[in-house]
Amino acid sequence: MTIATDWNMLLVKGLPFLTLLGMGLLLLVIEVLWWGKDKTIMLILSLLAVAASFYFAWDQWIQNIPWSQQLLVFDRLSYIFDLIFLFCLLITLLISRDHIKREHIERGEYYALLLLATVGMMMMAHAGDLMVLFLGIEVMTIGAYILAGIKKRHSKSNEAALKYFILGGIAAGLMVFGIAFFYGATGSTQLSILNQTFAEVDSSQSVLIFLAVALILVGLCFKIAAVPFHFWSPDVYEGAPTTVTAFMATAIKAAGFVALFRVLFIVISLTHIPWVPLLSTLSIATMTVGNLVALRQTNIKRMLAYSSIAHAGYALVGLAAAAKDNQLSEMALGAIVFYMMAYAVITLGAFAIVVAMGHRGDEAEEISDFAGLGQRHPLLAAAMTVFMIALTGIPPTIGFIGKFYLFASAIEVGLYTLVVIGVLNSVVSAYYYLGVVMTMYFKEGAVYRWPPLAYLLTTSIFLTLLGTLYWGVFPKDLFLMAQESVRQVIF
Amino acid sequence: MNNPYLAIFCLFLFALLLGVGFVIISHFIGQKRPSTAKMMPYECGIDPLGAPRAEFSVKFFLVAMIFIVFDVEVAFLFPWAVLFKGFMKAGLGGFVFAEMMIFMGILLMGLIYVYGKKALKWE
Repeated sequence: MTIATDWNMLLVKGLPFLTLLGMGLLLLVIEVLWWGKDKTIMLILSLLAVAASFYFAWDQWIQNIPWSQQLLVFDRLSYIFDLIFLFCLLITLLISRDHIKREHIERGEYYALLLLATVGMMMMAHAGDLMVLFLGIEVMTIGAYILAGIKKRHSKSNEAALKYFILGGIAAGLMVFGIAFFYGATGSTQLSILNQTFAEVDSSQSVLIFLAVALILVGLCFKIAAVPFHFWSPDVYEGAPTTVTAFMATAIKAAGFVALFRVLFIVISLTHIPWVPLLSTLSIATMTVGNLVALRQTNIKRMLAYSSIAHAGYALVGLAAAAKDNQLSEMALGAIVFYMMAYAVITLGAFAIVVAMGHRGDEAEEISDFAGLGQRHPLLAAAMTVFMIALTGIPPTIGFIGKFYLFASAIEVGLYTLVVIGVLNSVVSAYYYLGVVMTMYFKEGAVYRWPPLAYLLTTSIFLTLLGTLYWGVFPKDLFLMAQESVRQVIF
Repeated sequence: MNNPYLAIFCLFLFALLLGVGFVIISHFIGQKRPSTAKMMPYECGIDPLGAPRAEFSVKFFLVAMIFIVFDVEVAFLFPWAVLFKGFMKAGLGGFVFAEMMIFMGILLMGLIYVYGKKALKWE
């Protein structure tokens, strides 16, 4: 029996998620012991935990001392994803307050579950063992199931939670099956040992490994909602409270991608799997279906759901480019990390505006509800316009830069067809994104004034707007950060 | 194709085909003369009383779920307690003790929450 782990080191390195974990548990206790009705304290404590966790993750990213403890790994890739999750959590918390108040779902559990789901995501980012990866996925999705159904008396919310639960359960089952096959083939679930095994022996004959890879990929494709495993996402995104949808569309998608990275780093060396055709097909199907179905949507949340499927497709273009030559190329991976940040910033902004549009009793989720916003609330309409052109991928926004890097990395390795299809898809997507802009400025809407925006909501819209435009014009620092993060990945 | 399990697979396949085949064949060539007695859930025996879906109070599920959580805790505690002396001899007593305390501390938070939410009250 050897316990060789340096516990102090683990404590320091794990502070980003230990902080959130502690605060999540504390919030549950406060929820039952707190005498007051006012839940502001919960929000403040959550924000404090996010700030502390952000500081620790940032500090560790700067220090850059990669360290593996077999079950958990701590490198820049995991910390940059910690930072992405924390940013998503921050904006979600900021836009939550008004929304959950008018929807009567303001309880401690809401905040606690958001925090604990983020802990699960961080476990995925830090996973050094397939079982830890699986555990992280479960911690994340169990939180998300409950959050999707937190509007208890709302049939659509219940439907969303149940659908998400059933399909999430199937995905988890497939994934565990895949992990079991890996264990059967190699005798270990540890990523570092798997990596050695694949390097030393020619495992290309093993049917078990082929099955394992296939099952795990399917499980993860459910999480990132890649076609044909996307059917749950529009219904779930529509039924869940808007703030939760924002969190799912950004943070959970990013978590799915980091899990995909962690697995692909190991299995990419298997030469008998046709990685580029496989990922290209997945990417083309995801982009095309996402965009084409989004054209017909009248509900803004469903539209953003299909748009999030399409964006996963764009990110998969980068993954196909990265997988060339059976080793993950830094440039393409960096481009995906950057795209995840870009997509998170823009989408959170768009969802913040959807939240801002609603008021008590009317959540304003139809695209037609945006009619006439250009006259009544010019600033809000302008912000929405920026987010929509950013999602389309038009300069000077971060959306353009993100797509540019992705497609450039694919051009670099000669995947011209894939890039052409990606660009054509972007053109198609302009129709429905700009359709929202058209509705806001050129259609007459109902004549009543929106109540003034709450401070927190304004702050979050301002932050995301600033990110979208600032990094759209000066993307260098952020891009270098993304590139640095994938340079030294350990298992 | 010399897999030793091939024969077993063939056996399963044959059994499956046989079972499904008979049902399909009898569906197509069999004569159907439905009558009231035949269409009942049980053709013979006692007549069914009431709807099959009785309603349970949700409290049963809640209690069962909480029970599982704390049952798992005990399931972890047993091997820990059995092995504890061995760990103490190896000089890891404090560490192993602290680890279990953390685990139980987390579950204690859950207990406080469950208690505070009055999920343990049977009214």
